[in-house]
Amino acid sequence: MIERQQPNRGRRVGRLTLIAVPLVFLGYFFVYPVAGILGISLFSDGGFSFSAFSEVASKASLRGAIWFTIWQAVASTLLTLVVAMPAAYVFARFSFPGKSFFRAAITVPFVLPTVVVGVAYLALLGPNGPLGVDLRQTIWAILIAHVFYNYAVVVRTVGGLWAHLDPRLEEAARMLGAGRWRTFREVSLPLLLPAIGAAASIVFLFTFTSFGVVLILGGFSYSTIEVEIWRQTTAFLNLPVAGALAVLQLVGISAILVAYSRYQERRAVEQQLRPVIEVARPPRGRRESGLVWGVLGFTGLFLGAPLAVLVGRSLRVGDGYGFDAYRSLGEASATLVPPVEAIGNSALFATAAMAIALIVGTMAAALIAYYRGAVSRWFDVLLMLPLGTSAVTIGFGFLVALDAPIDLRTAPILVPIAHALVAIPFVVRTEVPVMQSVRNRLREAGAVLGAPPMRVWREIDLPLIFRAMLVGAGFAFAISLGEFGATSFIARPDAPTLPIAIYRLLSRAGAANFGQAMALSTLLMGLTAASILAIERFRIGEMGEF
Amino acid sequence: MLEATNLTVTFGEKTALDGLDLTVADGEVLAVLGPSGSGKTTLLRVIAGLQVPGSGSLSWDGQTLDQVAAHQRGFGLMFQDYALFPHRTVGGNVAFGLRMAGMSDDRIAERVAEVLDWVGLPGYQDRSVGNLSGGEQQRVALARALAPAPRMLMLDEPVGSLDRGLRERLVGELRHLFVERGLTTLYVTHDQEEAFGLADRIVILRNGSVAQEGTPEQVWRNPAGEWVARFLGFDNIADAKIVAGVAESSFGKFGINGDVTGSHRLVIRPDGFTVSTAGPIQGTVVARSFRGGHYRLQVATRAGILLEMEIDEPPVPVMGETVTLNIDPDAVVVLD
Repeated sequence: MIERQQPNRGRRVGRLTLIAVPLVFLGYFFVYPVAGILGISLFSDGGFSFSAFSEVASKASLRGAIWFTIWQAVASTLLTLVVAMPAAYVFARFSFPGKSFFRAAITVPFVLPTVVVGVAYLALLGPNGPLGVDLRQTIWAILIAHVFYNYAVVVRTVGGLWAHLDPRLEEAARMLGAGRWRTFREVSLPLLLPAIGAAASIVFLFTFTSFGVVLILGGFSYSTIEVEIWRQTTAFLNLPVAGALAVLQLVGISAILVAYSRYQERRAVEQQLRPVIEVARPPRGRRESGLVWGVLGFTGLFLGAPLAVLVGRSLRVGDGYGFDAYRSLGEASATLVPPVEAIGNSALFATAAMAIALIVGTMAAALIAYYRGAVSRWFDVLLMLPLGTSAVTIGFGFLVALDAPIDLRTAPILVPIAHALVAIPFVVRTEVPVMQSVRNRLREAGAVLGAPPMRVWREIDLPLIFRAMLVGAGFAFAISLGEFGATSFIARPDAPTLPIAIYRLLSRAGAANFGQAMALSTLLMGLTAASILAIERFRIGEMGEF
Repeated sequence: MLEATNLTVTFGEKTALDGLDLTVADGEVLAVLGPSGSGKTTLLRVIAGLQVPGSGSLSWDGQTLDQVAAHQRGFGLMFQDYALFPHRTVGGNVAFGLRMAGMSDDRIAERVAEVLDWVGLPGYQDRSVGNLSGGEQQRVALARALAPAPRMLMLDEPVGSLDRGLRERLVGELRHLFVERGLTTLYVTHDQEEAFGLADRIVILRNGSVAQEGTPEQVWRNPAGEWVARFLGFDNIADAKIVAGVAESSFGKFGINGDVTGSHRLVIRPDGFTVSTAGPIQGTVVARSFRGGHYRLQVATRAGILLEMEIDEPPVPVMGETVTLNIDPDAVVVLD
């Protein structure tokens, strides 16, 4: 009897730890700060009042920001879907040389720091850009940057389902007299709707909470709720209004998430999915080759041009080229400290954030994957919230809430914690499907061969999920490197991260500052791209959701 | 009438169709029979317009189809595994081709009901295709292909994934439907029983070209060459010296029809043996299995050669029994 009780108690303790650690972490660093925001927005004049909310409602500039946030997100989402759909098709249905490299390469923009994207488009669409148009402070620069950013979301999500869709369904429609367009509309499109819905909601969420891109490209003409929260806090010190805006944004995001999950439940059409290998084939004939290489050419140009221009501008010295901007990074400048120090800061923070996200995220993933039931379902939702909440809200929440019981606001560890909060959903989403795919039969085989439960996990589960953990770690590292929204609230002036240093350089006039910003952005882009390309090598097939 | 001339399709190094010629006459049921990888499915896809051939041409009643897109050819294709639209009901699947043809809603409803009647699924219009059994899915796929009244119906292994009993019943029903409606039909299968039971004419495909064509009886009686004989399951093949109607081979010495002489390769069909008291071959039964209508025996001759045979008349020898066998000269086919 004692023999039997022991593993049970161990199991209970293990489960409690799995619940407790992520719960305490999220409770203290997410729920508590969000409650703090709510408090500051409702108790502004010493007592309970809605005055902050009525100020938002009465000010035309704030109402304008809310309206702009919504319509630019709708426009960005539709534009991204239309522009990226051909590439989703090409990647799903055709095989061509260098495909896995191309697939990895198009993911790079998605994880690029918003600041880098903003800077790249500033270089491309600014007054001295190679296109000769000045789209700064126009809606077009923002929309194009958003499409650039989210191109891979559509290609991966929609293309992912498309690659598994039985091509014979489309052929059956053709045989019944439907032309190409009609076949797409009547067969492919309805079957792809779940993936299109998923991609659209992700893109909508990201563009709805767009911060860095709008801040850099929108100037004073355009601002989203995110930008407005930041401006109210840092420029006007109007915390109640910032809090009210954050609460409104949170409500809006929750509504979108709820509507989306309802929609997904209704839409689920059971369909026979086929292995990708059966579906993808080399292009045949001139028409198909033209399509494939045309789409790849467009993709390369669209995604490559801004980054190439960025690199080019970082090397520009007067009328010639050289490494002057890079060499000057060691000198003190507008960033208060030599910009090169920001590289060290970022590397340090990213390593810490990666460690935190990996520990907390893996525990949470294990809870969700191994203990099915109401608790882990709710936990799943709770974990996703930081992703939808927006980084600015997280940073703002830290600022207003973490002064008590311990004043953490100036503690250096706060930056990696904020980054980890943003990265944890990615870690969880990458690990859970892999953990769930480990068949119980394997564990039973291990147990029958004499391995106790922890040993089973170590010998059977761990090796299988190790790669997923590497992928999650890479994501966390890349996210931390590029994080801007939350960091802009909590980074100490003397310890800027790369994105913060870039933004500071950009807000000062002068060719030297601009050159340094370009050089730092190029370095940041290289670092992020390297970590993403490294992830691709560890990815197991198409498993995981990102 | 469909005419295909000199069709060639290659996938990289692999030749799927190798200069293939084929005709399908109006109202004819033609079965294309071949092992997997022989190019059957590619042939269907080329005729359907889903695959562009490397060379060769297609015509219908003398008019070329080469520039006609798949959706304008007016052929029906029933896919292996059916490819039913999962987001549409049974009725929605069957109505699809009719909608593409621009038919009015009233006419569509009428036609859908009629076609579902033919295939034995009356009143199934509003069912979801996800809840159908394999046999029902097969019938819906057939109804969908038939609904727009295609000028030719093509079927790719239409009963391949069903269990045996259902398969035999459906093959009978299909044959009845093709003949009753006078449908021009191209039927692809790897199963010879299916092809023999259903087709007016059979084309046997090997590595992308025609190995033999003829009526089921002609093909069965006179397989053209060793490869076809083995594909049909005729394994009693040996070299023989033929002199004046008597063949001498490793099987023994027996009479054959025709006036062939000299050294040849020949096959004895498994139905060509009878157990008797006197005959040219003696051997021992080494395997025996009951196949319903007949027994299949393996007999080892004195020389140690194995013979495969089907015996349907009692008394059927038992395992280990020594038997004397007679050979029906009609069942001996010279292969070269």
